Amino acid sequence: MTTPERLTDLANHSELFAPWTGAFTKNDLEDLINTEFGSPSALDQPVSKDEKTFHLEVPKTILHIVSANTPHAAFQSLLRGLVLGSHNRIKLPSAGLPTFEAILPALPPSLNALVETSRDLPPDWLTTAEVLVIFGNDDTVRTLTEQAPATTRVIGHGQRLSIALVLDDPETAATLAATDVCSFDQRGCLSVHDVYVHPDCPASPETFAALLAEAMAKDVLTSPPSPLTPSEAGAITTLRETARFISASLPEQCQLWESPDSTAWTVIHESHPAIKVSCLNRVAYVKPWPSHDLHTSLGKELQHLACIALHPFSDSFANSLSILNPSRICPLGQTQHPPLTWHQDNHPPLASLTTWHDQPALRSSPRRMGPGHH
Amino acid sequence: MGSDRQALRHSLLNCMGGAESDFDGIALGIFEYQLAHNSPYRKYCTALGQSQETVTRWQDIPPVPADAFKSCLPLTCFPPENTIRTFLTSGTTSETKGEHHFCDLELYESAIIHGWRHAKLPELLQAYFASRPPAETPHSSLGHMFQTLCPDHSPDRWLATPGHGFDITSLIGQSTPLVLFGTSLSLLHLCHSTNPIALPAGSRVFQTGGFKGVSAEHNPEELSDQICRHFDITEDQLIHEYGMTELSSQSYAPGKNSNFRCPPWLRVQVIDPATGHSLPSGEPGYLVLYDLANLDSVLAVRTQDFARMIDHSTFQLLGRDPAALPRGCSRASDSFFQSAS
Repeated sequence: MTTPERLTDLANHSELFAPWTGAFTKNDLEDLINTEFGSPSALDQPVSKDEKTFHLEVPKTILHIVSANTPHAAFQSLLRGLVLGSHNRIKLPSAGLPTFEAILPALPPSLNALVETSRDLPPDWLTTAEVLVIFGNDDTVRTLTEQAPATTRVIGHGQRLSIALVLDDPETAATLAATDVCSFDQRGCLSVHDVYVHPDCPASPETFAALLAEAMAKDVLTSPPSPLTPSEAGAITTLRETARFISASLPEQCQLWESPDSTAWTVIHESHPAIKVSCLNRVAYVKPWPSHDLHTSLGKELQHLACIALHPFSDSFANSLSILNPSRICPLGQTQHPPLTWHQDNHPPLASLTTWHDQPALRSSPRRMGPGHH
Repeated sequence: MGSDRQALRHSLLNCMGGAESDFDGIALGIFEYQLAHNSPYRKYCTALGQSQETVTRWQDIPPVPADAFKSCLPLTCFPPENTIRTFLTSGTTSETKGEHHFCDLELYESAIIHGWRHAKLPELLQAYFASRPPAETPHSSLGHMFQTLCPDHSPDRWLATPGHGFDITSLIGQSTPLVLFGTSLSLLHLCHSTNPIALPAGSRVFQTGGFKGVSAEHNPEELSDQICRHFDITEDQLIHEYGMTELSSQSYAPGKNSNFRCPPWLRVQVIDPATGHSLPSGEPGYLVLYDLANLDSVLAVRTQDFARMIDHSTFQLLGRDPAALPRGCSRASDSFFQSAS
């Protein structure tokens, strides 16, 4: 199966992936290959540049370890593996990933043949994978990395969170922030945990917190939250009671807004700027954006930062935030819709999975086949 | 303040000494006292719409979440200068630790000693501890408990070495029954790092603390089996303790899979994690403890430990909520032993 045939099959079934990867056409996939490798035909033919020839080697087998909190990673990682034409083994969470598993029978046979899934981790999967892609908490990434053979390329995606920064137009920003907080109940790495309010914003952080609470209450009416386990609900109520306790004595340091008689949404204003990890399921912190020494003020969770969402978006302000090393800076309201070219955790989506072979001069060479045909 | 407190303290000491006591009456008296003298707690109750007028049964006393002890607001009924000891919850150096301040260790120690006796546990003439001496861990409530229970504080009672290992020489050759104390993780490390040793007949091993969120997940039942095999004791000789830095009293469960029993001055409820409403016996939910010995802090504490209430003095512990951050005395021990590797 050639790459164009595979991309056609993928594009014809993009609706299966679209809720989790965004919609795509065959052109989009070709553009992705071109962006990553400098040539749309790089997967099938050597690439020439500066009188040198480079052969792209795609992994025969990729092992994807995906987490239970959201199917996004499974869809995105599989799509990348299918674009490359690798054989994809997917270790699912032990309880399964129903949304993901449901689409597999709908894939055409040509693509379905490139996918295997298991809720356990067969020992040979770890030892035979050329590339290991891990989604999970940092401990999971560390443990599996240690278990993989030294020659295996490991792409680890540990725990991540995202933040938003409101510069102006607080009313619109509150609606957009509510969308980014409520989407997928904050279960992905692009989910916003903390919304920061810039000192130049016309609304104070406390005022913005009230606006966000109002917007989240409206959002619940159109997109109700998923049912919670006792543990998830307990995390929210425990956090609320702790916030209520502090707020009762120190209202200038902490204030709580909550959905009445439910755990549907929670907003906590804190005067301390350090990034706080939400307990998820529509729990957002609102904080003041520090005016100096960002790294120290934002605290140790900064190391887990995935995305910063800005409102209003400006290139110049986005550039000033690059010192925080997020893998993405985007307009507020769009955090959950990254482009196919997104460098998740700063890795190029396709190139990080592949290797190159160099040779000094371009020679006539046979058309390269996809993996499994070598 | 003085007369209120003295009367309540007197009632409590009588209760601990075995006198018939009115739990509800003492609890409501302490609640009133804490509303009057514990400002952060009073403001929290006000925020909840609760006061001494609305609270008429001990079950309705508002519990604070255990994390409230980690806030910058001291949960005490006395001025800071009267603090004579502060115990800290465990955690890594970068984590905020909970603080439980005391102005009266006599009451605290009385709860420890009488709680032990109430559980009909053996006198501690021959006790050994899988930890460092209390002098090196002055903020450990568990270390203080060990010290309070054991009259002999000679150095060879403390088996953990400065090099993060164990020296069990003092256990070898013992012929009279002894009690070995340790956290779940220190006992696990002890089992891994020393050869099996048969304790004298009639000995007990005392295990406290969970081990969620550290190193790896450990199965509690497997650990109990491992401890029994390592020390050649039966399941009935293994004693489990439930306690936390935020409380002054302990519950005990002798043997594997036993329910925890509270002393007369400690009661429990189980609540629905989502609503906070109390659940009937047998339903799983969050454990809330009402510890009258917390006279000078706050008597009702809400945990994130899942449990089933059997009755208000007995509960089955199901385990730490996985959503909760790792905590517990066992973890402090784990940090100590991990630092060696």
